[in-house]
Amino acid sequence: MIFAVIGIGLLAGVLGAILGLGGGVVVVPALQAVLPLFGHPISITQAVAISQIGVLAVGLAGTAGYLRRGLVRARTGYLLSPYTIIGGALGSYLGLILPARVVATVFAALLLYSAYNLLRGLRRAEQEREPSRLVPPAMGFAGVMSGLLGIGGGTIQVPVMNLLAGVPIREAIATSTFIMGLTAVGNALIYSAGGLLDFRLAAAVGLGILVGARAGTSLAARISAGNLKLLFSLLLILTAGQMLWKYWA
Amino acid sequence: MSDNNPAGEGAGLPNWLFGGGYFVALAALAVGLVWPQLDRYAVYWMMLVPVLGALYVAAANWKSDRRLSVAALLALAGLALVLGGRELVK
Repeated sequence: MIFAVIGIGLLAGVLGAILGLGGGVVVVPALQAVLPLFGHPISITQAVAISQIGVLAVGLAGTAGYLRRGLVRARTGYLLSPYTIIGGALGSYLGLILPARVVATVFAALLLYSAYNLLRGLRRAEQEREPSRLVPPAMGFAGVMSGLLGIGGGTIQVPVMNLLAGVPIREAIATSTFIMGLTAVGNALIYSAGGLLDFRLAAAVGLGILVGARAGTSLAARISAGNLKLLFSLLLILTAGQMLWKYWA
Repeated sequence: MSDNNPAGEGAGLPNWLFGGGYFVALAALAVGLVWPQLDRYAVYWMMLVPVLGALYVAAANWKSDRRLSVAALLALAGLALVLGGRELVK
């Protein structure tokens, strides 16, 4: 079973590096699909808890790489991270008290939104501008979603930093990865206190992602992301449908 | 730092901390999977790396860039708040 969980981490790491979308979007549904095959059923909240360590691994591997390339705006990151950390704590607390059906429904909506974003491509602004006053609440919302769903929050943070704070897109992606590491620490502390964090499975996912993220970076140069995007979008839509069916049918 | 990253935006965050933290985490997680009683410490190490980064930036910039230093401390204060608040969850 542990090798299967490492495999899930590897897949999340590789897809994250190639498509910019990995972490919780892969880990949470995959854990729920694969672990029951080994006689180890897992609730969505437990999967979200493990995914927080996956997000932390993405943050660690990503930040190490982006720092080498000088893309992390650490000052912006530290100024915005208190909002995501507090939002994350709120989201994690909600994750502990909300019914699984509600969490699954929000997660399915996120999967559909991610598929839409992948197919549409990222909207981007190339000109630097003064940060909007909407940035702090938007980052807080990204934190809530990361705590509730076990995602990194890049889907929200990158457009917010790029479109509302005027951070160029490459730096926005790097800085979002940096922030998600800090946010995931707080989220993991909450889930661990709630007794939902399985350290063994979390270590396996973390190891897979650390290796997968490195491998994905070199694969990204050789693989055409176009077809992969289409395939992964369809997979996300299918997974969202399955999740809704499981909790509502 | 890259040329398109405005001065001071890198905040002096050291490459070696995250680069080294990555490889230590890799080894620690592998060890944690072989000896399960150590798995939680490997996870704790991963959690420690961003915290050490914030501490380093807060200390290194205290005299030269107080605003940045305070921002890093605020991020740490957020985590401290979560650490204190998690007692409510237990």
